[in-house]
Amino acid sequence: MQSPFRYILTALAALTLGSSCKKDLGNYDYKTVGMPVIDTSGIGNPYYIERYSNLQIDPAIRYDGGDTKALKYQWLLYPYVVGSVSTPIEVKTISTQKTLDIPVIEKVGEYRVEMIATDTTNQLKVNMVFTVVVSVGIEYGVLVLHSQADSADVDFITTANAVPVAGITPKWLKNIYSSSTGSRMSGTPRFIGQERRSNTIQNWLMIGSSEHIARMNGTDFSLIREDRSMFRRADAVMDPQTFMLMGSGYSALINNKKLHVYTTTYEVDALFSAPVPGDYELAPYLAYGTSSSFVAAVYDQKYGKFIRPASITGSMIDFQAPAAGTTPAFDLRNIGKDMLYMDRGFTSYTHAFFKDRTGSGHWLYIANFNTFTDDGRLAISAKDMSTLPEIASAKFFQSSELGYMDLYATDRTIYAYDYQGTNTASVAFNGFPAGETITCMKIYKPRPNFNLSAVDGTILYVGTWNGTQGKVYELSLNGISGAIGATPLNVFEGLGRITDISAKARGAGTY
Amino acid sequence: MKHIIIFALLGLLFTSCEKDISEYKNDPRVYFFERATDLTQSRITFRSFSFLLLPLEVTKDTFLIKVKIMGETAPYDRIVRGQRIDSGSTAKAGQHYEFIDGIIPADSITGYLPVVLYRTEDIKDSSVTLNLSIAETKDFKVGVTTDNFFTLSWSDNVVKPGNWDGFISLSAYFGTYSTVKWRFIISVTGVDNFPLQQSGRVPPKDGEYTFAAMNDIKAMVKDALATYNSTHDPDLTDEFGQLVTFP
Repeated sequence: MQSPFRYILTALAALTLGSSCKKDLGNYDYKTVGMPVIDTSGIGNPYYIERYSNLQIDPAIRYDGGDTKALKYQWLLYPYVVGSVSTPIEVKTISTQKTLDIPVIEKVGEYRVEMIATDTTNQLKVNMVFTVVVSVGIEYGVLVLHSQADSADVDFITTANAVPVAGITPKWLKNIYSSSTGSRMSGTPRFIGQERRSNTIQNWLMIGSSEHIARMNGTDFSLIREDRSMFRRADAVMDPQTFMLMGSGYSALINNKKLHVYTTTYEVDALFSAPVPGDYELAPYLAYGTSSSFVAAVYDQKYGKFIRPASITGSMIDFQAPAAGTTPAFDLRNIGKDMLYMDRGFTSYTHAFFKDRTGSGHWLYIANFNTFTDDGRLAISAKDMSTLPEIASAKFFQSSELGYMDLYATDRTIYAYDYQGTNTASVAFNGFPAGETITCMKIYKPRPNFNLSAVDGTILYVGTWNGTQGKVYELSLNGISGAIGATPLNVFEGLGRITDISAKARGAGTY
Repeated sequence: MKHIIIFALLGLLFTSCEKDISEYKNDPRVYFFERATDLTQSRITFRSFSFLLLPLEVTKDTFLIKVKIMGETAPYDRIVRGQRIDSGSTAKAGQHYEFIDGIIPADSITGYLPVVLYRTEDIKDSSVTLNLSIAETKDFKVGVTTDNFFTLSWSDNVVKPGNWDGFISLSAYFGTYSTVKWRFIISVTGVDNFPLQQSGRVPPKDGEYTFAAMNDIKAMVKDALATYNSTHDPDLTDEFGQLVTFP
């Protein structure tokens, strides 16, 4: 007797064979599918764009046989690489809108921006690649340090008034610190300054807050170094108060009331050593007009006197006593007042503004630290400012380098102070809208002023705060008389509370 | 009847598949597990140590040798310990070193076997060697035989840097050489090699010390010397009987 499985298996095999022979008689409907076209007519050339400025590309889309409303868009950005590389190329999606309009934060270099249009009904894709060259965008202008909610950012502004240089166009790059580093600088902002030495590669920017210090590249604002990596000692206290590349050639930082100094054009060696030894507590002010003999002339708030490092490696020492047989305007070693501000004024003298520790006396002490010999004759003059209008409410001081004139400002009024002639002050500007108070005042003093000597000292930048936003006023300034134009040259609105403003100059030579 | 036979045969077939596996009995052991970071994690059986970079006040340090267990983890800390192998060892127990108990933490498969090394006078100009193996403890027996041997060598000696004297040299910052001074500098800075930037006209190379960097180090050691002298009597004196000073 044969097994019934034998018949079953035979039947299954026959079925399989039969089904494989069945002819496909499907009813298909073929039709032509349209192809979207990215029209680059007139917009296909390379885009040369300055870093942090907006890249705008708005290509026309044609879609014969399709619906443009069904398209979705993706913009990719990636560096242009010649040859092979060992590391993966980072591709960033920078927009999903049809029209590209985004700030380019990439470093200086050549990139490709690729637009991909996808039909969401059938996933059909077309693409177009654009060449984008990111270039230097911050050679000339002013840097504005401003804050919101205990963190800071930086705006970069170039105006035709401040930069009458061929080929440089006005611009306003916003929040470039967070764009560059990915986050705002935490802490209370304190200073921003340029560290540029012509004909060298030294071209850096220094930014400080109550918690951080950062060195940015002066060409593209990329972060170079920050915080403890700025110091040679691991135990450095992080309390940067002010910084300046001084006329002496030394880069000086007042940190935690102590002075740190270096001098070099090599970034890797531009580190702050231990503070200059000594028993002192500095006022947080530096003045540019200091000769290399003195490294940095600073004011010891603790003992009420001017002091200086004996040398780049020496301890802090006193200046010489007044020369015998002279009647000095004051004794550098015995001031006994609280410093309010210090700046370089006319003829490269240092102007130091003081308030008496008791009483309401205000003073301008003028000293010549821009000389090579400490001969006991550095005290030039002492001006009693006590009777000047609203001097007790003065919060901001600036010294003109073009004439015998200084400025001081209260919350809302700027006064021009004729210290050499009448020793009087008059209102120079009080045209701020109601509700705004001054938070910063800086005369435009680009250092170095190569290409900018014609406008050096002729513009006054004022930052105001109205409780919700900060503004930067660009005002014309007569550096001799102190007259300020009644109508601002420019007003920039929508910033945070402005703490500091610094000129940003290109200087001479390559870098 | 036919179905009964078929089921019986199937039953026999499955029962024949059962394998007789003996029950695992935990037998905890431990072995040295110092490995390199190369792809094959090469075995390391030798480590050296120098007291030179440590502050002068440091008179002993504990060297940790990584070990790994065989067998199951345990829900409690277990003890590992080393023992001296006399052959080839020059270090003397109690004088140069001391074994102390190490721990394999609960639920861990690795831990460290500690050896306390002493900074003695006689290793300031020589080194000592300790060959050691795993000692049996209440928790572990000796593990893999090929990983049951380790050598430690340590010293505290200094050598005068080749760039101490000369045109661009350390003497400009530190003055006249002495072993005591050099040892003090190393203990303060934690650095025993100061290659100097040869010219300020070119950028410093990686690892080079610039004029500014060396001046900062000089200031650091001068401060440290002042602190030392204020807390020690006599002041720091070198092997020639001269007080240690810096320019």
